[in-house]
Amino acid sequence: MVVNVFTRLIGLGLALLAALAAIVLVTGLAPGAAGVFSFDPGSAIDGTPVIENLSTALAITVPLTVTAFLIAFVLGAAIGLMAGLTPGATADRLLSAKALVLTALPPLGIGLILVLVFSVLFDLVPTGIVGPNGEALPAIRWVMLPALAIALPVAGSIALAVRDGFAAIVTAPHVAAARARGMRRREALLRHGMRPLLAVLFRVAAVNLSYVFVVSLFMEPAFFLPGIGRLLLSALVENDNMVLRAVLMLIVVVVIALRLVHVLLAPLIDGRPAPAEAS
Amino acid sequence: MIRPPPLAEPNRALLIVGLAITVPLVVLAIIGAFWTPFPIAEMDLTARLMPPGPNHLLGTDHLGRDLMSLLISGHTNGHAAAATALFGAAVLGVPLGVLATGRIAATILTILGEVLLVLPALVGAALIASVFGPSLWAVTIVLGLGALPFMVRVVRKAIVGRLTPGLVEASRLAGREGFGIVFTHGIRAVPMPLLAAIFRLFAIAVMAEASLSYLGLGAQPPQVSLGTMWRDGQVFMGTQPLVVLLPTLLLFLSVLAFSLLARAFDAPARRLRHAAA
Repeated sequence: MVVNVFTRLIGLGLALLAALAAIVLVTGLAPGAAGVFSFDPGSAIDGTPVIENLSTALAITVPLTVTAFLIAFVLGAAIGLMAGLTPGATADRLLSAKALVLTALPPLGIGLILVLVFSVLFDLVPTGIVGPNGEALPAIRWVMLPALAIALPVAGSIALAVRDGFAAIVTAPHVAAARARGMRRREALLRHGMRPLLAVLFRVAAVNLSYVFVVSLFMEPAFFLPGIGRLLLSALVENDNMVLRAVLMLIVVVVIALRLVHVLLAPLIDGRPAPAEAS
Repeated sequence: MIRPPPLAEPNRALLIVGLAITVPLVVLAIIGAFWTPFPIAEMDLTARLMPPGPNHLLGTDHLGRDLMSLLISGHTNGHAAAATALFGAAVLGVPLGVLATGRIAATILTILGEVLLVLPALVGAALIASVFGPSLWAVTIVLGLGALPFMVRVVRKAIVGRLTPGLVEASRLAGREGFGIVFTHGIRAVPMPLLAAIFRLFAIAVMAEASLSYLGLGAQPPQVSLGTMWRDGQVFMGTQPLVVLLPTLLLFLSVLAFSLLARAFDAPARRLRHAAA
């Protein structure tokens, strides 16, 4: 287990170094850059400090990511647990099929269809974060539709992963042994299945949180939300290397930090000495 | 005499349903490489955003281009990018996966795999785009690199999972050593999980190509992708919803069909079903 976590940590460290080096190399020789080795984020080509750009964009991306993740996790875990409780039964088959269909939904297409229905055809929810009279809208008004578009496919893949993990626990030999000793199914699962289930849920949550973050970046342009994804695109179009550098570094650091938490905490939550092939 | 346990077989029902959708889709992609009803760059500004009609069966987009032609061409480009990326990843990944059954190679490849695994394709595509300019090739390369660690991991896991201590012991007694055992007994376990991984990664790659192209990091005009159709259609979908609905539907079908195929070859998920039945 130690070797396993250790090799992963070295990999993560390398990933961070390689990504940061590549980002600095690509954006570093820009006019106005503070220098290759400086951590001063400098200012954007319109003169505003990059930090300011980042913080206003994060105020969009973070609520979007968190909302989408919560919807996806609650929905996905519920479907997955119901399906996995009776592996092979009709309920399992129907729910698994439903989850598989969900995973195939293209988030961007769903997002655009939601915009079409709610904003263009019926004018119920405005796109962007500004209302018709130029007033700033509360987050709840602009976050729900894009969050839903992101969450539906992710809920599907969370459901499938939780289903497979839970089904493995339900049919595990040690649970069967507990039942053979006279425990009821419910008792056996509560007593012997909770910790492995927690490990499954944690692994699924950790993997998908990072995925939801990245999909949020893709979703922002569809809803005219001025978040990190939008900032990345405008930096690319305007050749704004200081903003590009800061945005890419931010994405890399967020993704690697989430993975770090996953790699470090997973063995603690699982509690078993990991077999050599644990992934 | 020690016999290795029989290998799992693909799920017949899922396989048939999956093939029933994927085969026509792949045929459409191949046809699209050589022929579309209209040339995709042919604009007719007098017939913009037309509804479906006898001349243009699915209507036209905001430049008067034939929607069906765009759809077929975008479908072809998406499938071509995904297929190229996965072919490259498999050619590199399968030998590396076999190699990774050795202890030292496993450590090195785990470390390198972690590097590729954790970095999102978006970052790679943005970096390539800012140096060389965006292109479908850039997306293909990024997708191939992203798929590589999964290939290595799947091959290695299949082999190591097959080589139980008893089997290895018996094979040693029969005079085999090291990779000899891997090639005699381990390799046979690779195809099923590898196919499952390839189909799953294909579904992901097709979706990722469209998404990256939507952001402008992939296919460039006059090249078409389902993602560029979203991008162009976004402004005009109030007048002509088909410009957004059709690429979404086609992409959904592709992803669903390849996910079904992947599930058909995914033995562990099915083994649990048998155990409970």
